[in-house]
Amino acid sequence: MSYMKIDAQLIFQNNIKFVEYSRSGVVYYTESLDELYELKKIGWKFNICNGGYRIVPPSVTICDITECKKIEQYKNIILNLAYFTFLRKLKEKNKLEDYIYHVLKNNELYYKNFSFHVSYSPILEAEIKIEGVDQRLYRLKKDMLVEFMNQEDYEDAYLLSKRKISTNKMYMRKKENDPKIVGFYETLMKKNSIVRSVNIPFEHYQIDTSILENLEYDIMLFIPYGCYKFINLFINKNNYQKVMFWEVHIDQSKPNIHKLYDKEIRGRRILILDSVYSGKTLLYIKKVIEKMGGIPIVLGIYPKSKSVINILDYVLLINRVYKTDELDLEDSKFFEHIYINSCKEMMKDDKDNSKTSKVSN
Amino acid sequence: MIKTIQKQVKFQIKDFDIISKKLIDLEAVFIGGFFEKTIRYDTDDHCLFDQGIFIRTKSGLRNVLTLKEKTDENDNALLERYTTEVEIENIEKMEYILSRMGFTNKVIMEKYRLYFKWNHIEISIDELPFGIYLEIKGEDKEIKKLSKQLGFKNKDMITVTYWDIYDKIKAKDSNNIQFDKSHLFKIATY
Repeated sequence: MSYMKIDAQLIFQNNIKFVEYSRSGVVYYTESLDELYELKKIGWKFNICNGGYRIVPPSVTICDITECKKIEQYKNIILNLAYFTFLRKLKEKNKLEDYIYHVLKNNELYYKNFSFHVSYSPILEAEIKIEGVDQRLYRLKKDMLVEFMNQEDYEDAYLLSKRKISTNKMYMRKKENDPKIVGFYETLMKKNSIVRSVNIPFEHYQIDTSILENLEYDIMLFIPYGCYKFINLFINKNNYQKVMFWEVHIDQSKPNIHKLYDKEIRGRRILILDSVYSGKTLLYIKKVIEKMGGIPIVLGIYPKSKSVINILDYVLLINRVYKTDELDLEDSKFFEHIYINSCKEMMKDDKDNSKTSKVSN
Repeated sequence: MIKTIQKQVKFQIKDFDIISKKLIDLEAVFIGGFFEKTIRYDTDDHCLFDQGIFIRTKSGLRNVLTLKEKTDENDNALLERYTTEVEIENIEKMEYILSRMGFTNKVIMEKYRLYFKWNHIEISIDELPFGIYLEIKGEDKEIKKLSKQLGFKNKDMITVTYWDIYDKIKAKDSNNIQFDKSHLFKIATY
């Protein structure tokens, strides 16, 4: 059986737009299963929507300075800051594309007929994200890093970053051992498995949530499915019974179907937790809760811009939850300073721990 | 320069967590992890092997065709090879060309590789079906310095290829180094 051969590069180039979560990117809508089949083979992802299939190309985070896992992707937090500074400067001068073309040119044979797109948006201050027409994007990510390390001024850039962060460390992780919490996660995964596979790791980054200790709330509202990636950062034996899930999408092409551990909202204080890019989902759910007579408190996870932090009550940045009105959002290097401080605190904690262990010895 | 001298050394890793912690302390940069398949070609009467010449294709981070030649003198106890490498677009087509040229004897090696850079040194942590190894490529002095910093002793140095290691320990008749379907990878989630 033959059908019209698809041109993925053309589809990619013709469908770059400002997507619903307020950043530029490629989204392609089609009813054709043939097209979906071909695009899926080269790494595109899809979901079913009212108009057929909504398909997006492979995308990668080249560099990020707000979330532990992405910060640690090169296993060197000193390099991560130097690389971020380098890429951000290129992006500000509109020269990031030229840099990527230069990397592609070094490997012309491999990157023949390859297209990429640097995602632009005011909400992407602290993350560099690119999309590519196929899986060669993953190699491009490695080649971009190696090219940076081969640059003449790499050593200076690295040393500058090292002056701010003296030692390379990875963020602390914690294994969940409480049988009640482990049981709770297992039930969650089992219930979800009827409709979709969900994985909640029992090991997670240790984050400082001390600012939430005196906060009074009746319900912790998580928004599936993104929430399952970070739910373990916030759940403990004192709050797991307050958890409720409610699937919400501002993208009208996706249905809202998922509710779990549903609770009465009226007159109750609802701590809403969700990962945040544009903040539209959080603002939407906040309004819904208010309409239902609840009192919303909004905690945004790993926002990438200061403007988004303004709409939140609390924010998780790297390994700590902050009250947003205590942050200096006027600071032009706000994210860099949070990053450097988190690294310094890691060193300080290490010193304190070693002193304690010396005393106890 | 057509060919370069490549110097390298290997160490067997007993505790992956300790080595990865040391690489973090040394500020090595993790470039990425990938599955690598190497195919070595020869004539049926092993005429290349007898001359100390090895032709191979490798897929993984890049698709390459490599010619390795034994060096005449090797007095510094590292594994040394003249290496000539070109990037190729299609491994299968190259395999066909080589087979039509008479290189029909093939042996396969599979490994999962974590690739790091430290100064001008290339560091790989390789998981093969028979164990996990650390491979360091670079200049003599830097290789020796890094080996010491990672806590390895001279007596632990392995200066032969993975093929040579496999030849000594293999329990099966096959010369191919390939993972069983049941193999549980230890380093792939790094």
